[in-house]
Amino acid sequence: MRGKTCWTELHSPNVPAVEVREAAVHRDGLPILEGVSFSLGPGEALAVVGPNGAGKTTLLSLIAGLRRPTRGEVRIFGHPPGRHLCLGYLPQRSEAEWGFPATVLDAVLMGRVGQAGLFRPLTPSDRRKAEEALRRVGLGHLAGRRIRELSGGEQQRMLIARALAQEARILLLDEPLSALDAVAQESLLSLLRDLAGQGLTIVVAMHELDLVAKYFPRVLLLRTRPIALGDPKAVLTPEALRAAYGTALHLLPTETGTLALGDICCPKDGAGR
Amino acid sequence: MIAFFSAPLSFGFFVRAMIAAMAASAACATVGAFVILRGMTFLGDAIAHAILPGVAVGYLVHRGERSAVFYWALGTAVITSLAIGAMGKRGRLKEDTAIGIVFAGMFALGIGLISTARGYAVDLMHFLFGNVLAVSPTDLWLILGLCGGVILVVLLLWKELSLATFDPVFARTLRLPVDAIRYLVLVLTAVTVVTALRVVGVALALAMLVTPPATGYLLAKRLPGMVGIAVASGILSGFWGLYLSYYAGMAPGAAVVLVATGLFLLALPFRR
Repeated sequence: MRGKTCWTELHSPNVPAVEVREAAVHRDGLPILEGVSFSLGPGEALAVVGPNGAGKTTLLSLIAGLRRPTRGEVRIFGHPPGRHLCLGYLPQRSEAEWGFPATVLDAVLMGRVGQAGLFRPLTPSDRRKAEEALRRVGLGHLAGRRIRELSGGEQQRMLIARALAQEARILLLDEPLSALDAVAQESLLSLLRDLAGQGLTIVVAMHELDLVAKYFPRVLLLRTRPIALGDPKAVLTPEALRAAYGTALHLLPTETGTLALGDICCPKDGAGR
Repeated sequence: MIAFFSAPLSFGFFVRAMIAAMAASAACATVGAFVILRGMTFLGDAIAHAILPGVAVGYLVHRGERSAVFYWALGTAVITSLAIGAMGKRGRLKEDTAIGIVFAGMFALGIGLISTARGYAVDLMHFLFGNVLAVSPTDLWLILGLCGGVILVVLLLWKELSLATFDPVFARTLRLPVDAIRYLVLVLTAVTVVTALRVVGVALALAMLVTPPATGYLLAKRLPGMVGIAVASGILSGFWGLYLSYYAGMAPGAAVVLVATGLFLLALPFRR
């Protein structure tokens, strides 16, 4: 089971990195997610937006292989998910124990555990890959820092570096911006844009509608079912947003376009299952 | 000065006791580091207390034969740890409540069983607070073997244990058998608790599992340092604890734990 690296090399370049076909997840007979289809090639980035309870987290854990679809299927480089290391998943609430006694480099090195295999210690080459990953996310100078001393933004970057050390080709991030201030949000998103430019496939679930158009060429608007998928300018229209968020959303016309405000209140309206 | 150290060493039982105490402390400190980082301290205490019925049955079945009790304790410890692991998050009660009920009940059952034997009070004291001075050469080999085995397993699975402790969800995406690792930590805890049983007894086993690793946590920046300091402070506790016991006429189990606690308090101002 373990030790499998990414399968990109084994396949024709025509196979998409992530392919979701008519995926549905039901819990107790009720749909949490219904009829979602899209495919992403290497270097493509997708933002997934929608109210709380819209199924964003479910969709990501489906791609990560942490749960199975009730109907439909998910393919990672043409294979069923959950059997390979080319996928880095950053859950919404990291269950990492931040009090763990480790330096940033130690934590990033843990991304190499999958490749190393049972009983085999990590090697200097693992260490070089971890250091390289830290540099790519701009944390090279913090390698010796203890993880509990990191800020929220640095924690996110460290987790991304760990996924890079793992040699992930696909990054799934569940609301990575929610604990960050505006500056850290934009700097994280531009890092993700750079990584997509380097060929990684990136899926981000987020609430920050104002940032979607600036950083993502494609967006999926979700409310259990996909409401719209495509270019942010075409997708995030007042009509589509109202369909997704109901009355919980306030739309303000401004000079630069429509500004969408608020979406995480009012579970009665917003959280249609 | 030399006489201070050498005088008790002329007694074979003292030397055996000291080796047993240091070995058990080292094993407890190694496993304990993962126990406290995983927030499983309470489970460790539960396992320690829940093995008493097994000890009691062994005691009643093989009267006077101490090594037999050892195997009963080991068997009960492993079964208890697996049962506690399986209890998990199912059911209506919170996990810690359920474990509290089971472990107090098991503890009572153990005391109840032992108390049915005539003249049980001294032996009960030994089970509760250890009787390391009565460790036989056979017992010592058993303790050394178990401690060596436990430490070896931890070293072999070091990176898997670290990863599953630091970030279980991530470990799962790397296809690490996170649940199996949780059970492994529970079984390792059970085995170390049994080695600690002879040294400090059921009631104080938790201290050996938690106090030296806590000292390591205060002083170290990284996990290897934490475990190293924990093992060192565990071994020192075994060493000085037995001298303290010899010269102050104190119960050895209590003395070992007091030294461990003292080292923790000494480390407090130097935490980083």
